[in-house]
Amino acid sequence: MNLLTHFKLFRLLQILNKQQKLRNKRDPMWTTNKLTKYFIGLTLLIFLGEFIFLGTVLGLGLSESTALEPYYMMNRGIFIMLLLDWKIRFIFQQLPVQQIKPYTILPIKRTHLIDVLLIRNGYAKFNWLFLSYMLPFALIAVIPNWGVMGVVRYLIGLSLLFIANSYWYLLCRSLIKEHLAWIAMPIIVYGGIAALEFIPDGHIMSYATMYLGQGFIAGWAWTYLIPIALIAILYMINRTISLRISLRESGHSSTQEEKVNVRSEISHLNKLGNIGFWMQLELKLLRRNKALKVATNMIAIMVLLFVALMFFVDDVYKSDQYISWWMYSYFLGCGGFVMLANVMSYEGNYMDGLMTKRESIYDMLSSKYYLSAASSIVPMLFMMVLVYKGRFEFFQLIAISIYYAGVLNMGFIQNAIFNKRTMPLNKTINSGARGNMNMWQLIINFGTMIITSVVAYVGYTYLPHWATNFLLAALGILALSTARIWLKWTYLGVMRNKYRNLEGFRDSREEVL
Amino acid sequence: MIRINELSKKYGEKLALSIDNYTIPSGEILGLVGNNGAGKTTLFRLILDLTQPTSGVALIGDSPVHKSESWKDITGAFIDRSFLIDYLTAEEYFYFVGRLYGMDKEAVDAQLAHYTDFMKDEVLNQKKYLRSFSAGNAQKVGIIAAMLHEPKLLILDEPFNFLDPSSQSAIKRLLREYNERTSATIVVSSHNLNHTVDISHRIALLEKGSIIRDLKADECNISEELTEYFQV
Repeated sequence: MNLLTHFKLFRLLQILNKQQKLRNKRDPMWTTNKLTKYFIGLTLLIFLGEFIFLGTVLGLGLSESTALEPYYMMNRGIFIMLLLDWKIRFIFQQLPVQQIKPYTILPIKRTHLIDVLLIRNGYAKFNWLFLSYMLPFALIAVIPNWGVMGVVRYLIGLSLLFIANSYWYLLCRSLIKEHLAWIAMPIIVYGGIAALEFIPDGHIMSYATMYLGQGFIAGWAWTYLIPIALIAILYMINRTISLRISLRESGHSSTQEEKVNVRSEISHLNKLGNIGFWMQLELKLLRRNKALKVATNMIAIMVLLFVALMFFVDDVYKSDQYISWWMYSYFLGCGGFVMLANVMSYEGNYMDGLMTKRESIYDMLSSKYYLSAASSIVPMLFMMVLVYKGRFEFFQLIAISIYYAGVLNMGFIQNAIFNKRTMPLNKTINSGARGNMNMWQLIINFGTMIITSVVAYVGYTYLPHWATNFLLAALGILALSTARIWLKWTYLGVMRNKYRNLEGFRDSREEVL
Repeated sequence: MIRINELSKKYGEKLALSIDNYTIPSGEILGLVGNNGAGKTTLFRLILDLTQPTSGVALIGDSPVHKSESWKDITGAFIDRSFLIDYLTAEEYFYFVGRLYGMDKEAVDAQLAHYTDFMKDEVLNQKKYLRSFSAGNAQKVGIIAAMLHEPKLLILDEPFNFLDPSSQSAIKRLLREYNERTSATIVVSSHNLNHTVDISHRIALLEKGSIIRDLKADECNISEELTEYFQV
């Protein structure tokens, strides 16, 4: 690349940064509700505070409790940190191709756009989040032996690792969006790392990262070359893949005619009356739209992975009923969350049309709730393997499943009252797929999970286990059996907010013409 | 069929619509014309209770639209493509809409038979979802779906858009026949003055949210009036 190209890229980077700032500032979520902005800011501050606290505690705690230097211990856990960081990115980080669309018709080379977006990804704010816990840790643990420069060298090395992790995430996410089978790639990579760590004696991987971290602190040049090489390789692969996807999705290369799925086996749902009729639409929504198909398949894979994990790993969870409850609920909760946290967002694409038909929204909400509740049978059946294996209690499984079906879904479906943001149905490239939640949705979703956690924690800690299982099942049955009543209230809430929500759906709807 | 009382809509400080009193009698075809931003779509959304009026009320029959849902049974509307559920095929969408109005498959098929010429083998049996339809064919699906349950009130926003000339001609014929056959009230907005004048008994000219002229076909030469206003 010549100097002129570098200059153009730099200018483009500046322009895109400026536009991204404007976009964030003018997002309807902020402009229509200032309170949301402060609430999310406060939540982030709390998270940051927790991370700083965590880093400080780890620094002090490891200094006192082990014979080894605390950073040795910390460095042995680098892969775990990177794995968690990778997982959290699925919630927060956008793909470059998702941001490219508005610029594709402008006279800018597509490769330049991709380069700029990938470069931006390299220094995105999220990549520096680890500093909130690693900086206090390093100040406490590294300074005594290596001084301030040791801390600087350490954090530079770790930064490079987290940047590489960011590109690794982009690669996985891009490919998984293309085809779910690509989920095998991170499974193989992380499975391979776990195998190297646990199968041969000697904990190869954790010792490798321990030396890597030590190299960063000591400033061994070759240790920096490892993440730099990783960044370069992953950057180039991401560049090629992003370019290919963006060309295809904007119609620059031949596209296949979409295969129409008009199977009739769901027509028997008609026997369930209006609810069954709407369930058919719901199933078509899930099966025919890329965004939802990927999300539901991901849930299925997560549940299967969880079952496999508990099947092969020792019965550590069984020792604590609350932990086993939490683990299972977490995966089930993720399922309900994906299905219902964005309830109405997808319908936002055609909500105006539905609103001109009588009471269709009530039937639609009911079908969503019952379908989501019924879907909890699937993970429950998978979990039976664990019951058979003796890793999970039968009555606990039944109780959690009923509770999930009834109560958790009841909580999540309340999002319908406040959701006013349209999500695109069948696109991987779009500018509006960030899925931002407003304050009420955050309260509903986190509130549902937190209340559930508290109920289970108190129950499993202070009550006999059978009594807690009974309580959870009873709450679930209560929610299910009174669904017709409270769904009516939910429906009335939706209708009460309908003007505001319809405006929001229109404002955030992607132009499909 | 439609009564508008002191209806207004503001977006922030900007007045998008303000109509004191206006009545659209049963059986009439009303054409709404006006330049961009005149308030045509806003008026439709207010009539269909899709947006909250700043003041006033719209009534369909005797029902204030914001208080009751009874008007929904006798109203069919197509405002834009966002009325379509784009992951359904055309047939599925028609059966879906029909079912919402209590129609079985046979009744829907019988209704669709009225529109065979309009659809021109380009809508049914296409083996593709509505999202893959051309804008014109999607427009046809939306218009037919709005008429499927033979509503007493039909509201169409820019129905001639995206349609080829022969389909534009066909939709004009269809709307006139539908009006004669069912005595339904039809409200149509369009930038195509000739088509609108051709089918309408009456034209309401909107400017900056207000109806500035109410022209009846049997009382004046609508074409001349509109030509003068739009300077075309």
